[in-house]
Amino acid sequence: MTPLVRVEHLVKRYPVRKRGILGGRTVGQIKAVDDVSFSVAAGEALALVGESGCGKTTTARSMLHLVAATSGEVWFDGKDVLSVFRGNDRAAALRVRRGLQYMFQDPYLSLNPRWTIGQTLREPFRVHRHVPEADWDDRIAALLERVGLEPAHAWRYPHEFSGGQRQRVGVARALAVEPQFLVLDEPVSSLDVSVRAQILNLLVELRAALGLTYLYISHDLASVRFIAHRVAVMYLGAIVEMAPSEMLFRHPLHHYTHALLSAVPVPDPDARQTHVALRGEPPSAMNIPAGCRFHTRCPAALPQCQTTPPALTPSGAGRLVACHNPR
Amino acid sequence: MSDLLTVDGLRVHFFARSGIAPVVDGIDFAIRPRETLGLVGESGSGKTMASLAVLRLVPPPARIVGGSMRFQDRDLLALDDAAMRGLRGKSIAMIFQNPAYSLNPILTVGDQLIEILRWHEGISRAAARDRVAELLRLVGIADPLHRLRQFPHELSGGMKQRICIGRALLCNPALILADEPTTNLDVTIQAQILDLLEELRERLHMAMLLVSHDMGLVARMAHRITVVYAGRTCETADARSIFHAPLHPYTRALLDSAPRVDYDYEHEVHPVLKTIGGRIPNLAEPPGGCRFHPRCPEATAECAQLRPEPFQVAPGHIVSCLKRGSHGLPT
Repeated sequence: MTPLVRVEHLVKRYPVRKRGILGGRTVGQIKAVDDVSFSVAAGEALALVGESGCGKTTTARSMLHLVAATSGEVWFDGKDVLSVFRGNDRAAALRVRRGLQYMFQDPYLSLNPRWTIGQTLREPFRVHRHVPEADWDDRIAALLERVGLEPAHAWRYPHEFSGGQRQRVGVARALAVEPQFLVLDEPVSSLDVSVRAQILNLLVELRAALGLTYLYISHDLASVRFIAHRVAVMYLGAIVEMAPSEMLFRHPLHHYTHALLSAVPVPDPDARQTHVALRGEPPSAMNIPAGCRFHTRCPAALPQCQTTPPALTPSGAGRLVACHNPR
Repeated sequence: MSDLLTVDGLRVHFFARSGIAPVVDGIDFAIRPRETLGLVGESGSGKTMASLAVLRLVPPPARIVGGSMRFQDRDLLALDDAAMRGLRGKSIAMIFQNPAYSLNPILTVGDQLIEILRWHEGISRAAARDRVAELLRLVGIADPLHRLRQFPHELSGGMKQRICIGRALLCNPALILADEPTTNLDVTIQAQILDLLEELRERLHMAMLLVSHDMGLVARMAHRITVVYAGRTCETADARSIFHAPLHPYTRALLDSAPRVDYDYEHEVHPVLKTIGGRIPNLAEPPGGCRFHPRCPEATAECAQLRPEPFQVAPGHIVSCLKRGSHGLPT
């Protein structure tokens, strides 16, 4: 399959500055995203998983230039979109934005509380002008119905909605410009179990019906297994393993993936979970260990892991793993 | 075996300016010595209120308005304030959801832990410090004497939660109330903390009330489980029955609606999760009859009229559902 979006050697570093009397100075760097490459095929759902601070959200935000990447390329529709965003051609940047949309994590923070839902949903039409103004209200009504709300909801304010309904509005807003690619940043983590299932079903159904491509970011591995075709596992700013869902969940090769999966409690008291406890906590992204970045916590580290960083290399059908001593 | 704590028909009302909301309206559960009881429910189910009520720490404008609570043959609602203070942190200790908020940011870890021990046991500062250091070592903190001089903001989330667990253990309590103890932690750190809680409960012969919304977590930790919905108990049983033979429609729905990390989903035919329609009721205007009836697939006309009473279907398995043999009381 041809990739719809291709990310090449994406890097995002934040300088760490110390303030002094005579201005500040840079004392270090946080390598939030440290040379990440992957591609997403058209119609596919790729999940980016990892623990807090592993760089999954920063990766997605840099892809859409919501934060400026330090270096790297993101290819979409035959162009490096990062150079388009950095350039002065606003019309070209808007065309790219129509293809790539972002749906935010917190339904309580991502809607303007002083705007009705209708006003919020008019905004994409006002910015992109891809539909004649006379049709906006019909389109908004259709969008609301598409995500399981009612056209009359356009007159209401965000506080009148529950968390699940607000996330539906978030989906509608992202779909308003008819994008091909959608970043879903923890779309269900703030929702209760019974509501979470409704939103997950909606996302799966929309992907199939509209031919969408997803980058699904989450720390909730059960929802990842439900929604994603392929999974990339990040640790301290880098991808350590990437494989088709079933393969990754059944036989993780990287020791971090294995520990991560075995730490998720299974809702069955009889489940014989082989449980790998990781020692300690992740090191700081300011001080990434030399060699393999996971060696300080790895149960199977070899001497070479302290010195030589393992490259992300193919291992079997469609799988990449960065490990000197895989399981 | 006699119960360590029994809570019967607990009722907590929230007295807002706009009206009275019965946020807990008949929650029952019992904890035996040395067992873990999982109290499971979604937001607004009253599970946190119920655990706070055990310590009589329900925050105003909410108030305990009914029910009974007995702990070690004492009536918790009849104790005077001084006796209650003597119990909190000593016989019943609490681990809160957010360790960052439950530690005092302007005191060192040592100061706040030593104070608790001296208040309850009246021992010298030096003796208290030694005990605290020993406990911190027990909860997996490698250099306790150094940590005691640190402030909470200098510690990671996992470390703070270890400190909070250490604090709960200070006076050797018989019962620990743990309210979502790992919700803000990453899964690998969550696994460490759960292992620690389980090991300590076993070793120190404690009982634990584990409040959570996560069925996976209670499956791993709890011996018995009580499921609550919209302020009422739906079902209580041993963990295996809850997961393998759930009787209340809400318990079933909770289990069915969560995606599972141990399932293969057919991505080619696009998978669908079973969902519960509707949403969690607003407790300022709770539905009449059974509170789950507007979302229940089995509901009939009488479910909207009658409130189901707890009914024992098998030894230790109690269900409140008119379709499972419960009597109904008019509401």
